[in-house]
Amino acid sequence: MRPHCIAILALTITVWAAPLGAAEPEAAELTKEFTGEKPAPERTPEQLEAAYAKMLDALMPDMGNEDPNKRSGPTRTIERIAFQASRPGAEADRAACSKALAARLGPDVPPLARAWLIRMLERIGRAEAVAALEAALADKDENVRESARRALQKNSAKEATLALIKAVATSDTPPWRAALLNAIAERRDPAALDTLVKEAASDHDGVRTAAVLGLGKLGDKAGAAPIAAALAKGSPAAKQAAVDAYLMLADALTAAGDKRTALGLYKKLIATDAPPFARCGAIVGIARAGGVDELPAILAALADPDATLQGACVEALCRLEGENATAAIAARVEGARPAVKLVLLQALARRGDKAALPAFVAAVEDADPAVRDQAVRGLGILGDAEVVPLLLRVAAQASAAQETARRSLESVRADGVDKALLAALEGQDLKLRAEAIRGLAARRFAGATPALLKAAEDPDGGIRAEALKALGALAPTEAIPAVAAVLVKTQDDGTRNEAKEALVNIARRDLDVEKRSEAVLKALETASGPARLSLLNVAGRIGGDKSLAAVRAALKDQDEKVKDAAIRALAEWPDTAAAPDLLEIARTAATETHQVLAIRGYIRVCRIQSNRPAAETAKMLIVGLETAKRPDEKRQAISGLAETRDLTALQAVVPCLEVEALKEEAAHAAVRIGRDIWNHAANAEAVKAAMQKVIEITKDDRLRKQAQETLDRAQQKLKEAKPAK
Amino acid sequence: MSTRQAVRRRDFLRVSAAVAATAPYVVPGTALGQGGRPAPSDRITMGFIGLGGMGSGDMGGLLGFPEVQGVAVCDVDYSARSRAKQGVEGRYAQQKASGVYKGCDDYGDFREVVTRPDIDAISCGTPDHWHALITVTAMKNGKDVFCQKPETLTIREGRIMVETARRYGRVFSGGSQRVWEDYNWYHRVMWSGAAGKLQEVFINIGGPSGEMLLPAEPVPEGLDWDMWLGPAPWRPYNKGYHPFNWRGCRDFSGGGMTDWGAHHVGGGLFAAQLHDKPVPIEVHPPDNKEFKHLTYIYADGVRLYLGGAWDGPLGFKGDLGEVPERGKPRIPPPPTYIQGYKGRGGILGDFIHCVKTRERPFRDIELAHRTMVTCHLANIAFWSGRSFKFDPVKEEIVGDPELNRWVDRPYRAPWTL
Repeated sequence: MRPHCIAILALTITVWAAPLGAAEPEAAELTKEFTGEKPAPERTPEQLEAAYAKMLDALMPDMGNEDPNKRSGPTRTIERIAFQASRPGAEADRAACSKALAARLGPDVPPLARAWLIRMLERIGRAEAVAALEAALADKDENVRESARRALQKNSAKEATLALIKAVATSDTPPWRAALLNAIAERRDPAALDTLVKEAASDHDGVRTAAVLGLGKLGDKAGAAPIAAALAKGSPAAKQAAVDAYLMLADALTAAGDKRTALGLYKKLIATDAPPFARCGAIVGIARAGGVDELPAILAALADPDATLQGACVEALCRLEGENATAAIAARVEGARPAVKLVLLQALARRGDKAALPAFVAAVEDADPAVRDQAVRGLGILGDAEVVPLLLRVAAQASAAQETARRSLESVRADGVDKALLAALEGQDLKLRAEAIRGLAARRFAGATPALLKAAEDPDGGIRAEALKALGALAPTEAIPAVAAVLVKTQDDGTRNEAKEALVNIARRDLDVEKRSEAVLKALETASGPARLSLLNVAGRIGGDKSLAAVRAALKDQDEKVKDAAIRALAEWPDTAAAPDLLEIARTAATETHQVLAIRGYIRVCRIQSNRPAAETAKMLIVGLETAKRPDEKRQAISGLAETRDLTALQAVVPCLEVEALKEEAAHAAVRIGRDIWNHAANAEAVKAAMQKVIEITKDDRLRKQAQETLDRAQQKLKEAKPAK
Repeated sequence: MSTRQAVRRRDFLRVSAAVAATAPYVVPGTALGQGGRPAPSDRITMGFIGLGGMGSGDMGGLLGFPEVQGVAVCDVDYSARSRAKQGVEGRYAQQKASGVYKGCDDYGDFREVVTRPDIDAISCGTPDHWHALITVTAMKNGKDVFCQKPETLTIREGRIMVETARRYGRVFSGGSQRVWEDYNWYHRVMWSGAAGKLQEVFINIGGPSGEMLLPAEPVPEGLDWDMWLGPAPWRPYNKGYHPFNWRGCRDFSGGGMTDWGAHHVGGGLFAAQLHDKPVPIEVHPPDNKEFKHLTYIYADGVRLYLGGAWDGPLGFKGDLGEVPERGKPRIPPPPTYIQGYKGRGGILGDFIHCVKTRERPFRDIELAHRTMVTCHLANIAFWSGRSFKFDPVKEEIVGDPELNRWVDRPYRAPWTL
């Protein structure tokens, strides 16, 4: 061989070998490269195509398997390959993968496999896949055809539109033609305009509908005339679709800036005898395209009694743009009919433009109650400090708008509102002052605390009560000593009760249990009479070790009323710290009242949610069940056991199935516990026996059914637990 | 009589022009209705579409409002709609002296419900892949909509639902009651400024759906499987899809990501006051390197992670600290004012209130859609395994044309949105 030939041969071998230095790896290794599990060396486009082909060929055999377990692996792998191939910057991979997929859609490939490969092309195919997809539109398998249609719909190449257009021309059934047109419509390709215009004249409802919707989505004004012609044709559904297309086209023109053409379309729709929903869309469109100049047209639409149109008018008015649009709408309120006023006020509130505020203020005095209510509602959205007196006045009157006014006082957001309410608190009118306090409470304005503390000692009982309620809602914990002082000082039972509630509510906002009781206990040290009793109640409800010590000390007081208050305080304890005391009182108290209060309190605290193990809670409740003397309290204990997912709870409840006064509660409890614990082999026998008993004694059909279900499960569990012979 | 002149059941004006000047517009139900129920002209007639677990629950809840009158039930499964019909009629029968009521119709095709002129609103409780088509068709027919979450299967569906609601002036409430109710503590604490300037949001959540291949089984009697599939690609019936277990299948749902995302992501965005802001512009799946969790980055640098919340489903970090604070008991919620539901009776009451007043509900479809966009972006990141950028105005994936195809999915013929 001549030297230059050797050189050429060597160069050829070098080029051919680059970048791969060795033979192409096996399919499994290729898959790792092409799913991104390991780096892939550089390949030429031809090498890429060969590699994808090799991978797919290895995966194809099971792709058409009817058994999804066998199909699943290759299906997922192909999907991962397709995702990886379509990553940005890997166009050569994408194209190679797409070609390899497209080359495997022949009749020798099972339809299930073809359909899946086409779904991959739906995600990554471009021009190189169009021919194969176009051919698949004529596939014998319906699912394959349909998959190809969808894949062409999503294909980014212009050729896909042409393929679909060709298929429309040769389609053999109207439904298929309509489906192809739907795919064309979604592409929004101007190249399809002529086809869509032509098919929009079809006599077949489905075909015509698909075409007009396509014209609507395309947004080309050349579509207006064909769509308009379709408005009066065919079934109600077809006409509705034409209307929708018409509106879509008009909306697209508006968005594109051709508002004049769009406005013409909307107005044409209004002028026809179109159904209400069509006029809804047209009204909103008129507002968007025409702006404030079209306000008269929107107001004219309000003359229509149809409720759906009212809603559209609100939306339209909200969308109205243009200089002084809000003022223009607001100017129409006075003098309008009540129904129109409602719509205008609703829209003005939604627009959120405070320029409309005077219209709302005026409308508060309207003769129509619904208008007044809407006006008051709007003040809560748009208002400022200056509307506070007006809202207070409405809130103070028993009327339909009273509740709305109260909510508006809560919601109005602007500088100075809280200050305005505080100023009103200092006024003379009791009703206005009370509403001002309610407003401050609803707004949770903690800055009102000093003024409210002063109002808590007002000469008027109603003001005192409202002030204390408000303090309970908003005062910081630093206010506890002052509120406690009010409680101690007052001679009025009502005020004392309100102060008591306020103290509890304020104290509960402090997570530090001991800290929150300090001021209360300090006041308790020197309090006497009714104040002492109230403070004991507060101590009981806020809890803590120091409170418990104080209440225990009160149990030994000489004054029977103090002892009684101490027992009642323990009965309201917020946790199980008081449980031993309560149990002791339940067992030993001299009066039935105290026994009952104590046992009820004991059962209540046992039922408070905690991290305590279920078995321990069950044990405590069983003690409660045994200690209770009356059926009422025994039923409460049984009800507590029902919440306890433990075998001992079930075992305690079962004997109660024999007691007439307890059996229904016990039956419910047994079923509830049984349903939660049957699944442990150790419990199944007991559950079975309990359910059998419940079925025997209960008159409640639903409960019997639940018991039977649980019994069946327990029996199954027992069967499973038996060792195999 | 033309449609323009037809008498409407819910006619706000209600009386002829001659009396309009003096007749009230809100007549108390006690004055005109029976047993305290609003008069027929003040009632909201409803159709209930999709009657599985959530759909029938919503139906029961809505029927509890005295102003709601249930007149139609619809499900592709005969047994579900038969049960629902009995439930509605049994409920009303109890209120009648005769003990009989037969005023609820049942359907297998939602189109028959949404085209009834006497129906004012629908509640949609179907699987996710049907939500867009049913609700958009309903709105085009003038109905207000309550739709269970996840409200959408794709990003584009949501945008079309918003546009349709606005185009026709309809009230559309999404269905996550948890956004307001379950996370209220977070809302009040975060809105009070406890965390300071927001830096990071942590949301614990379920995973994406995927491909779910199951063997073909005979279609149960009474089930219209083709209609159940609707716009989703065809596959044979298997009880592993219906009833109830379809959520793991990507053709029908976004999986736990959207199912619980509607709640947790919705709640997290609301607490962070991101709910009405543009959605994130970058999305990164976890890579065991820079991104431990799926990570979103907002235009202002705020990061949202799917995972990592340390106490409950949500966590927030700002320049002033964390919410909730680690290892400490939760502070009582401050009295921060936040506009929640406008009506009484939870999210359903909010919807009913807004149907009457034409206000936008708490879970207005625009807000529900933004939550769903956030969830769908996560799914796309998980499925593809790659990071990408997103244009929140155009609602398109930027610089990755093939991934951008996931913003929407083509419907199976003959369905189109």
